[in-house]
Amino acid sequence: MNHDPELPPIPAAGDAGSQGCAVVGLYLALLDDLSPEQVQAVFRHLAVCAHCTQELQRLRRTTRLVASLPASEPSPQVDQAILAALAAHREEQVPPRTRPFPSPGRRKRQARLRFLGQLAAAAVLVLAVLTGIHLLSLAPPGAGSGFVLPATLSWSGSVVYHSETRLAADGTPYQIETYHDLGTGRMHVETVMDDRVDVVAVGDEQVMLGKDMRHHVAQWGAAAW
Amino acid sequence: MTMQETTETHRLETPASVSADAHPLDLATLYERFKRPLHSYIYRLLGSQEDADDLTQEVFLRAHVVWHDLHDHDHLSSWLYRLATNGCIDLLRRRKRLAWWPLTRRHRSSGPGGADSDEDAAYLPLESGGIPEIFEREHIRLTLASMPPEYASALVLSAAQGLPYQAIAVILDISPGAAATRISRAKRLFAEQYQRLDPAGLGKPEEE
Repeated sequence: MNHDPELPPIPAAGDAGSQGCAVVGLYLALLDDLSPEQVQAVFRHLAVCAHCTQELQRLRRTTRLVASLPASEPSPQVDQAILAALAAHREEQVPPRTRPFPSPGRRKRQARLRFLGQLAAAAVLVLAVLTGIHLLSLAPPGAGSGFVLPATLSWSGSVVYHSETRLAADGTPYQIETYHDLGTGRMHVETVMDDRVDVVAVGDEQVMLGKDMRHHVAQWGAAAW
Repeated sequence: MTMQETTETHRLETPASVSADAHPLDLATLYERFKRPLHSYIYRLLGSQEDADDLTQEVFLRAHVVWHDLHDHDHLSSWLYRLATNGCIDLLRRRKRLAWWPLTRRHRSSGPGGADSDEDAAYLPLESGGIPEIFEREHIRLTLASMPPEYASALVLSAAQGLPYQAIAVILDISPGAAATRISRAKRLFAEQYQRLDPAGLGKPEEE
């Protein structure tokens, strides 16, 4: 018999004393959960016990009544709210500054940052070329560009949005910091290769300004990106 | 995980982002799977769509908080049912405390006798409109509301949610033997209370 050691054994059919009926009563309440062997043993008792047969009717009525309570589901607005909350929480659960590694929920944001990273990498290349040209021509730094970085440029109004270390083609590590300017809502990217290259790309509505360690400035129109 | 996310992972090529996804089952998927049975369970116990909505939401938001620290993914359904049960029991206890004041007033105005019936009658909506099924449903809810919450929840889990006593034991964090005893007592208690709150005697408290 599929007996649960936690439950008292089912009494033999002849054992119809109050003690026996009390144990059978426990099984009667669980009839739907019992093994066929257990059900058979219970029915052998019922065959000779009118009291327990009556009790079974009472318990079955209870089960039927409670089971008749209709099923339900969340109201549409609540349903939407829960789904939105679960989705939003997934996005928020790892603030960018407290956790160095990307989590699954941040993949979309990561993809955006990856794009910014590429922009920064492109800035490194362009500025390297510009620097070379400037050195060759011995032209004064920044001359002829007509663009200057904002004099007030600082990261004080910005928060670090993302920080990432990458390897250049020759294996040299470089650091890309993305800043979120809280005032304008724009992203700024700074790329640093230990003491050799430091490129800042600052954007406004139309153009992206880049500045390297030697104050050479490059300008790209938004369309050029 | 969707196809798009998978591709994203590969393109990122950061090992950390791959290993971070240790959960094969997304909580939103779990919600879609369990929102109906859980809401039904809560609604059957509390008898209010609004409370069932609120508690369903609470269960899944709580589930979300601990989701990433959760290692046992084999008993997710029991775990959700446990969160729901705890919420229901809390609310039912609070209701009983809150019900004390209006019920006392009600008792006084209705005169002596039938104090017990009055206490429970406060839960009975007056707008049952004489429709037999609705009246019976309210009678069932009234009976459940009159029972200790631990018994009412065990009874609904067994009779309405159709869960075996072994599963109910896991949900309630008690032994299978204790769960069997509780279900058995709950069914008898329900039968007694249902009889006692018989519609015929409800409107006018029985004379002793």
